[in-house]
Amino acid sequence: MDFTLTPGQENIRQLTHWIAEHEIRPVSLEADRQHHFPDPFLLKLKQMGVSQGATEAEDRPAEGATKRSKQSNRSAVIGAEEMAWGDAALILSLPGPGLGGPPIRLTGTKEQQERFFAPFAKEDELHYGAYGLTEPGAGSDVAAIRTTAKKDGHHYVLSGRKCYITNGARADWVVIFATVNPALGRAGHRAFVVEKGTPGFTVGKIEQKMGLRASETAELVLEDCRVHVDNLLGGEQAYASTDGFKTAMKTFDNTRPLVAAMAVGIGRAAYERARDFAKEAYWLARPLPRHAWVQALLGKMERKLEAARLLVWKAASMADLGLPNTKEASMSKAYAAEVAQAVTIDALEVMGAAGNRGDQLVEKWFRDVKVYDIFEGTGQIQRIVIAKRLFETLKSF
Amino acid sequence: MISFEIDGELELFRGAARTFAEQVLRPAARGGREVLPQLLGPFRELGLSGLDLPEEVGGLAQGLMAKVVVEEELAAGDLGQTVALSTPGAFGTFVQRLGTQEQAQRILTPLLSFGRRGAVAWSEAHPRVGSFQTTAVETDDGGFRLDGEKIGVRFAEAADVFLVFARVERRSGERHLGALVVPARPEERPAGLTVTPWDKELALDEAPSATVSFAGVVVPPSARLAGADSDFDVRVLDALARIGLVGAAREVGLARVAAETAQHFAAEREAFGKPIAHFQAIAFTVADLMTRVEVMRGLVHRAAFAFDQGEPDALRRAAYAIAEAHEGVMAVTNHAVQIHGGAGFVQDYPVEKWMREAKAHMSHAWPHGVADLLVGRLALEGQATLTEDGPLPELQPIWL
Repeated sequence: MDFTLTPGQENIRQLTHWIAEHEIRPVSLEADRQHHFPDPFLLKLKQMGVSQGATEAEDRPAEGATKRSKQSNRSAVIGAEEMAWGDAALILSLPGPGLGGPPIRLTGTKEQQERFFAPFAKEDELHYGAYGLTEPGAGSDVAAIRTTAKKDGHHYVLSGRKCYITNGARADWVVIFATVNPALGRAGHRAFVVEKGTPGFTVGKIEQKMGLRASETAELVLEDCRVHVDNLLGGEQAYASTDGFKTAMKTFDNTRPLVAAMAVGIGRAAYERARDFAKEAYWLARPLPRHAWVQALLGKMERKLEAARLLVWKAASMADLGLPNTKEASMSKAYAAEVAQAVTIDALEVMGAAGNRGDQLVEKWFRDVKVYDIFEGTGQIQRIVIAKRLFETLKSF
Repeated sequence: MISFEIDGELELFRGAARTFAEQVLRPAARGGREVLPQLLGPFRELGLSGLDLPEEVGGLAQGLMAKVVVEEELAAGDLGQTVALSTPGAFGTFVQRLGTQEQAQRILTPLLSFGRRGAVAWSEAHPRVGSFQTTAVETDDGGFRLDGEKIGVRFAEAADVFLVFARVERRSGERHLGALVVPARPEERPAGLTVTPWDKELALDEAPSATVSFAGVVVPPSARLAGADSDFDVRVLDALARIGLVGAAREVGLARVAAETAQHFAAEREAFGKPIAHFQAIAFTVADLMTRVEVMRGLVHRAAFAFDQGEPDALRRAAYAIAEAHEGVMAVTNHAVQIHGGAGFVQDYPVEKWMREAKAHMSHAWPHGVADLLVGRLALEGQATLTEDGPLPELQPIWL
């Protein structure tokens, strides 16, 4: 039992925090209002070495490292919390393969990995990948996707609509999930890498959102879009069983603790703002009965965030050790998202009317954090995942 | 390196405690105070009594991590018996932290070696802001005269020795918090000391309480714990946090057994043609209970680590753990009863006892509002101390 960060992790934490505080926070409000981070800013961060820690975390231990010494998941959640403390929408806006990375890395052929990851190596350019699973009629129930893929010679013809796709409009390519036969359920699913500019592949509307406004969320339209079989992820043989669907899910097992860590980061930002506000207004509040209530509320906010952080660390530790962590990953995601939301609500409560002001950031964090209980599996989906592990001995659970 | 694994010696302690909990404590649950004498012997043989106390007083010097791991297991067997078996317990922590080394050895060795028992007299029925109403007035020979009334004193009847917290009034005119050791065996009790046992309580009758009143009780100068005069208040708070953390660990054990029992019940009990776990109202609740137990345990382990490593924020982390454990154990045991339905309300099943114990146990330690308040005060003021008219009067109603 140990809770000490390694020197490397302490370094990641401090460095990421420094960037979050000195580079990201100063532009956070403006980016929210403009609905994007300026490209030169993103390029500058890229050149500073700020990458999508969220999805590029090394899946294999470095050469010579033993399995037990693998730290990447723990390091990634520590960095993600700091980054989200700076600005959560920025993490989603950083150039890189995004959520499209894990499926390619986990099931893509060697040729596909080389071809699709190549653009990200270019130092002075911004490139994005994206992940297209959700449809207007299939959110949590991902098995219900209706985008079709019909084999036609050396091509598949894709038709359907994808929605809420992060970086969908700017991405070089999108991993699109489609079905060769809806009647087959999960066994019919296939994952394709659809490249920008492919005829029949267009961008629909860009969403206006409650929060994470600086992150691009796009609708994608596929109309008789012909995709070469070379872009079928993993090749035909990868779909002998139900692996297509499993690929989609593996992505989430890897990212849930990270998303949870980001929620903790947003919550912490709000907590710290409320605490500092209470400190500043202290002389005013002291004689009021409300004073003790504010103290206890701040105490509770701090406690809940630490509790969520420990769940995240545990799920990440298990991943580093190669232990099955599906239950713990879902616990951390469900709990952290709820806690972070509650903390932002309490922060607004502590600050009263001042918290609502559009120049205070805290109202932005309140808006930003809500989606953490929705994307990458809603809180309800997490509970289904947890319950499946708890009741796995029950027939047909 | 961040690690949540329990291994090595810690695993051995946990295994021993778990076996004892399952084989001895659980079967003895609902046995009331009658079975306690039969359990004391086997428990002492297990050697887990003075786990966190230093070797000089006969402890094992294993630190708080071992202590919280063991206490979770014991409480998962039966909380009532766990509290009853806890000796020297809170008494030991206070004496070791507040007394001189000589006092700690003299007072604690009989407890650890011969199975004697100490009782802490802290709470008062009508707490005065900032201090105790019970007074210890210094006499001309340097001794003290005690006047006042203490309530909720666990094991007052069976105790060999009391530790009485009081407002000390020195001949010099100085006033400060103090703790005094008073003989408790009926034949040794000083004149003016009366013990009035309480009737049945909400729960935890295995460790019965009493009111102890002092009317001109005279004790010698050596009765006052004098190991920490310069920073007595700070050490009291530190001891309270350590004691509270052990209580939080027990609440993790209680919540764990309640959650797991609810899980098994949900998998077996059928309604509308299938196990009730198939209904999301039940399945989601069980998922939340399990998450809650993880949360509680995480904060307890984190705080224990902070104490053992001497981290400066150990007090704050103990407060997190205590508040979360109180809040969690009440919610988890309540939902466990709810999942059992009518079966949860009757005494054929253990869950109703667990729910009562949760409430009784949490009110016999830190009220969780106080723990949150302490954290908030640390966040805003950078300090939270317990002084005679100090900023933390809320700690006064703590029961031990």
